[in-house]
Amino acid sequence: MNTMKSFYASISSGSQLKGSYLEALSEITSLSYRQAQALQSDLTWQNWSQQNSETATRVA
Amino acid sequence: MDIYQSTVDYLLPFPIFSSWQEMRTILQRIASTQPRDWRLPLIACQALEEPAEKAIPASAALACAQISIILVDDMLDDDPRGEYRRIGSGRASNLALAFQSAGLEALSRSTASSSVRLEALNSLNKMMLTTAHGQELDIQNPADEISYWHIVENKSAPFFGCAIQLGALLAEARADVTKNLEQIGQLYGEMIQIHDDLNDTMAVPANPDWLQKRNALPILFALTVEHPDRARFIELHEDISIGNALQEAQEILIRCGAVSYCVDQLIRRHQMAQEILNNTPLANKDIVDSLIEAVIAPVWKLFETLGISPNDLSTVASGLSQQ
Repeated sequence: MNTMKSFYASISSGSQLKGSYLEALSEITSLSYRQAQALQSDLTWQNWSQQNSETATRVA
Repeated sequence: MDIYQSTVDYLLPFPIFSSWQEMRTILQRIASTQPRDWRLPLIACQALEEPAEKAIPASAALACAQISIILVDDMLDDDPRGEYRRIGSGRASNLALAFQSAGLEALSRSTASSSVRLEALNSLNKMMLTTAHGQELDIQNPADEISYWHIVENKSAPFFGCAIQLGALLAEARADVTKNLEQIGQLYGEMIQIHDDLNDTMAVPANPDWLQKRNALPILFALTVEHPDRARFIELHEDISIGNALQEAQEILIRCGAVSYCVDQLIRRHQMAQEILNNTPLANKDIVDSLIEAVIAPVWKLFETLGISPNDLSTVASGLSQQ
């Protein structure tokens, strides 16, 4: 299994990507940091800490 | 039904909660933040259109298990928000052990049949064992993607698989339906872990994943794949606290395909979960569908910024599970 390297090879293959699912994924590489922030979420499996104030302890 | 209040009401009469104030305090404070994961057993129960009350012992067991896991996880991560910082590692460990056992007691006190209770106890115990192993693997920091996914399978997926499975078991679902719901829960857990890694890696200021050189999924990609910015990324990764190192490293994560890879992994798991759901006879599929859709929603939002609609992407992504 080496999906990272094969994935990188796939999205770097230029013209072969036109109209494909991989083309959509390769377009992400041209996003700015601000645009990529659309991915930010509260999806974490320790999400209660994010609902506490910064000074609160994690579980108490 | 308020599952959080019901969970607290179910657990507080246990003798250990009566005699150990710290346990009561922690339980009530966390319940007041309404952790999303405590709802998972209820979602399984509602998908089967069984009375919500059946899920309460499962939610209580899961709540205790999660508190136990995080009490320990904070110590492993040296997290400044951890309870151990306030009361010390020894007492935090005692609490973790107590919550772990309280989770098992929550199931053994359920009014379900003895065979259902035994199955539920086995499920919770197996999850706790697997998660402990996953935590042990995680502190060794994955050096490659095989190790990374092995950790995710042990550390993150079992908790969520068990959460939904417990709800299905106490709702007395068929064995095949219970299995399918467990698999959906595991995929959901893997997606949560990917989001967790993305959020931590892209956060400002630098998250402990950067500072402690932990190989979150996007970082692992940028460190191991042969892309043009790899050498620079390795240099930045060495000391992320210098100047604009974090910003430059995060821009490389986007440019080199690390974020794209995470998105691909999210879409693949979403697709697999949808396929399992489509083949699972449930009275109320919509509630599970909503759960799965919520975890892929940030991906659709990202593609909207590129002018690509979720429908277009779903079409081109179809058949991914065969690849």
